[in-house]
Amino acid sequence: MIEILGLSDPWILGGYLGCVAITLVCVIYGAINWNKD
Amino acid sequence: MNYLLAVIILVYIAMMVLVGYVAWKRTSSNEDYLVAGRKTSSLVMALSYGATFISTAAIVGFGGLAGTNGMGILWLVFLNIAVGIFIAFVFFGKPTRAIGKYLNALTFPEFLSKRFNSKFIQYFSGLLIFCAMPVYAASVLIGAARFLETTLSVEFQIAIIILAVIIGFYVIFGGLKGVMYTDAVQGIIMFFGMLILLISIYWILGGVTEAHTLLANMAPLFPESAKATGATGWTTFPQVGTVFWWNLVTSIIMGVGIGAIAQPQLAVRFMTVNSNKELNRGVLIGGIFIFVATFSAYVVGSLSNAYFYQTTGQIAIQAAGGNVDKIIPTFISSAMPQWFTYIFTLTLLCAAMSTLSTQFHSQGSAIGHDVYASTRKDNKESMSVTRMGILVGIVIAVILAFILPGGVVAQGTTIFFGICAAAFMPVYICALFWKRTTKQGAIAGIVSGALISLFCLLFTHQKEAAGIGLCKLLTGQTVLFTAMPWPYVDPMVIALPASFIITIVVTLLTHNSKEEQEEIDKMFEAKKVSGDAQ
Repeated sequence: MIEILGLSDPWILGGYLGCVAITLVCVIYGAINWNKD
Repeated sequence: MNYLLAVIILVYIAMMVLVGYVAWKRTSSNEDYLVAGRKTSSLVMALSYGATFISTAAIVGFGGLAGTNGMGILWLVFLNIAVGIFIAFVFFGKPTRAIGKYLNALTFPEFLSKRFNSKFIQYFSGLLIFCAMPVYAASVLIGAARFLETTLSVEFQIAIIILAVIIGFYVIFGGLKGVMYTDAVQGIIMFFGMLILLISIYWILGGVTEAHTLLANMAPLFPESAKATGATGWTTFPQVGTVFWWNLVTSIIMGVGIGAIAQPQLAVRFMTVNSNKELNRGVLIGGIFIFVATFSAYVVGSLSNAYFYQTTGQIAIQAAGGNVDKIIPTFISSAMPQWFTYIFTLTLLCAAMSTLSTQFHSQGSAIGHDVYASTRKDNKESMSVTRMGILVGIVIAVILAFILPGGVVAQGTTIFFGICAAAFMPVYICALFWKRTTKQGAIAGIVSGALISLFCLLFTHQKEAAGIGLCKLLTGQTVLFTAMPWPYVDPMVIALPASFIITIVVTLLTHNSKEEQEEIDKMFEAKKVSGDAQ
């Protein structure tokens, strides 16, 4: 069983890392398209 | 009363009134009043969208639920950002902005009405918003007033009046500019308040991994009553198909997470910017804002169990005296320094006021612009009518806040989100992405979505049906269908697909006229020209 940051349940770990990942997606998308109309 | 806190809040209120005054001076046309002149900056738009999205219910209510449900609720944060920000801005915001500008639509009901060439859609949607919104507004108003009552010792009824008068001032005079400018200031305060809270909980518990490990080791302490319904712990997901799972997944995560797409008060934000550039920038700003605001609340709610166990030997719900809504405030008052309780008080006041201001504005524009003005032949200048509509909406919300019992009020947000999602989302998606959709299909989708959602809320979903009590009065039992899982399936899970199917089937059975199809082609051309090829 994988344990990351003290979490091992796949659904909980997925939710936790998913929040961080989707925020990074928003940041990268916004940064790349910052001046695109 | 704490005088320092009172001074901080008075300074904050003076700032809101000043910002409202600036907005009033910059509001000279109906377009200014209803869509902020379509020239809002990305920072103001994204912060306003986020601050409106996040009310005290999200921070205190759902933060408390994280304390009793555990970290599985973090999927709601994921959906809020993925659906409420990324998909909403990138896939819905751009075509809504372009088509809204082409149609010169000033409200969400008017957008749908002009897209489908149907006045009925505007009246019906406007009336639906005007009827459903006051309960939602009253629930936020009550939450904010109760909060002022406990922190500043202000009488509950007086607190309601004070809040309504202050917010009413900048909404009635400043219009959507007043709403969005104040939202942006409130959003910045909320951002820093919640960021400090997130860093603090991990600091107090000795680090990220250490905090999670502490909570994971507490699984045997999870209440037996919850374990009997399928819960397994704070850092493990409940067993699939159990009552606990259905409630967490369909009501808490999906009900609120997906419902954000077709909220009229949020969709209108897309029509306040001048180009897609602001929406692209809004994805970055909105994504970070929603992450900090909601992730912090839910992580703190869950981890407060570890803090309370270390300091008092109790789990969070016990430390909060059995009241879910008191988990976050109890944690703040016992774990955080005095200066932060002031910041958090201001954060919650900002969260409530930013949501309330938009609710009042949406109610007013629904009854003033969408219902009253659109029935008149000359509706060129309806700003004064919308102002009257806002005033009427505020009075209704205040009266409801005085008379509604707590049990019904707690469901205000869920009821509004559920009805709006089922009534508007399928038609909104078809309006933007399916040229072939007909007026008849759209009308059938909106009406059926609203009615099926309302039926489920009153007769099949245990939580609302028991609170409202109509089913019990008519049939003698709390819900119509007692077999699992029906009492625990969120109304949206039933009404949303049903409304989608009805919209598609009726569309396939009917046709747009040649003139209507030509006009629709022009709308979609406007969408393409704006650089949106989706």
